[in-house]
Amino acid sequence: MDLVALSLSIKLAVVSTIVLIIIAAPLSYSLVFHRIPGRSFVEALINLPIVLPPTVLGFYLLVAMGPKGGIGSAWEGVFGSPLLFTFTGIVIASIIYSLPFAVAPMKASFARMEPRLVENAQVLGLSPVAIFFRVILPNSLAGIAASAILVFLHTIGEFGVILMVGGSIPGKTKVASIAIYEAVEALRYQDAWLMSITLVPVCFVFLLMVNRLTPEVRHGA
Amino acid sequence: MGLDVRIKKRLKDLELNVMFSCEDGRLLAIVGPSGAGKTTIIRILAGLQKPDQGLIICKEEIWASTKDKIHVPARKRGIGYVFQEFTLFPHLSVYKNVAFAAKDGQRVDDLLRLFDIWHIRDSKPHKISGGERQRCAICQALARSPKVLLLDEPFSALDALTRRKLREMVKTLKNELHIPIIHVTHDIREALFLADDILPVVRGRVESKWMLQFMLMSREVGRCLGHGIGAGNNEEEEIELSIATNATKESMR
Repeated sequence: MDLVALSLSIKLAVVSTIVLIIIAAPLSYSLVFHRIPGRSFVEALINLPIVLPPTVLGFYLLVAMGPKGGIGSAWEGVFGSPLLFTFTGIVIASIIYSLPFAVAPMKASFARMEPRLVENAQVLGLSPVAIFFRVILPNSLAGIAASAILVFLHTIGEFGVILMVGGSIPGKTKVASIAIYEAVEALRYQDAWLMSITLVPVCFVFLLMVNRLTPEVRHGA
Repeated sequence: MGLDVRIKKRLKDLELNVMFSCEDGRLLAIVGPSGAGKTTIIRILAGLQKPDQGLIICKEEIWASTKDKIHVPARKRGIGYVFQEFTLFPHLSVYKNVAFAAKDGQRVDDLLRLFDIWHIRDSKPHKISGGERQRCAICQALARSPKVLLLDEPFSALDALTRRKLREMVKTLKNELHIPIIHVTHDIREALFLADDILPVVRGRVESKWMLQFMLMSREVGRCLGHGIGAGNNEEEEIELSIATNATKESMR
């Protein structure tokens, strides 16, 4: 069993989840509470990875993150190293791929909030940033937890995008889903079975952890 | 000093056009039927909505002037606003709700004791009664020493007994606070009990005639049905209502 690939999958999922929560929270807040010009365009752009085949998205990212692409050349200019076929590269690809799964539950959670709570906070003298941290976030923990679960599990299951952007470099970009695919291709069914079975309890434990947090938030305990 | 207001706003099915003043230490009740534009007035005062035209001056500070394109945002007006319901922060205890925007911890303690909610200071809003929640909301609004207190039908969702108790509390409070208090209500009895001045608003305009007609009609209906305003089951209330009705008649001559 490829334990390195398995731990890389978990590392990728954890990093992507943390970064995505940080990005998606203010983005969802703006989409719900602010008047954004071209909102439909922005929302369609965010949701594009849901409908695009992963290989298509992966291909676009491969081009964009390559040495001649906009993101890739800018990255090389700043950091002096390529972005493709690196762990950072697959993290960026995962973030783009899983963004709609982070935004949707958060947006729903923010939209469910009683608007008068936000108005009361305004009247009490809070700035929009303070309202976000002191009112919106603490009252949307269930939605944020749901976002985290979805992003984490979605990243664990990623295959096409990661393969296109990261290839299969052991210890760097070869995640569990790619290792399983390669094991099957090489007729190493036992390895494929072991890794597939191992992913189930890993995902289950994470779901359980977040589920244990969610009722506490809901009941305000 | 006090609050001077002149606002016009086009709403869905009416044109709001009102002008009024409220001096420090006085309570002005804005009374009228549902859909008259009362809540819009109070929301414009709070800065949560903008008027199409108008001028709002509070203690010589311009809060809104469409002519000079001034609109001070809600968070900078220093207002205390008690909404009808659902405005306590559910993730915070009663104490933390009251202290949410307070500058002085001692004032928070004093208010919690004054409004008799000190014993439930550690409870979350969903664990306390409707009356306690509204007392907490009033404390929250007062804790930051507001320049103006706005009450938007704060007792309408409460039972009769709790409503009566809270009215008494606000009446006591009114004499201690030296700020303008604007109280929106559709309950004329509540307005008569609490207010120094009454602004009857019907379909977005000030209508003194409506006030008189409503009071006379309420007395008649109350008498026929044996309850409500003028039912004769509370002598003190009956006298108070007669005086108010006559005063309204006088003011219209």
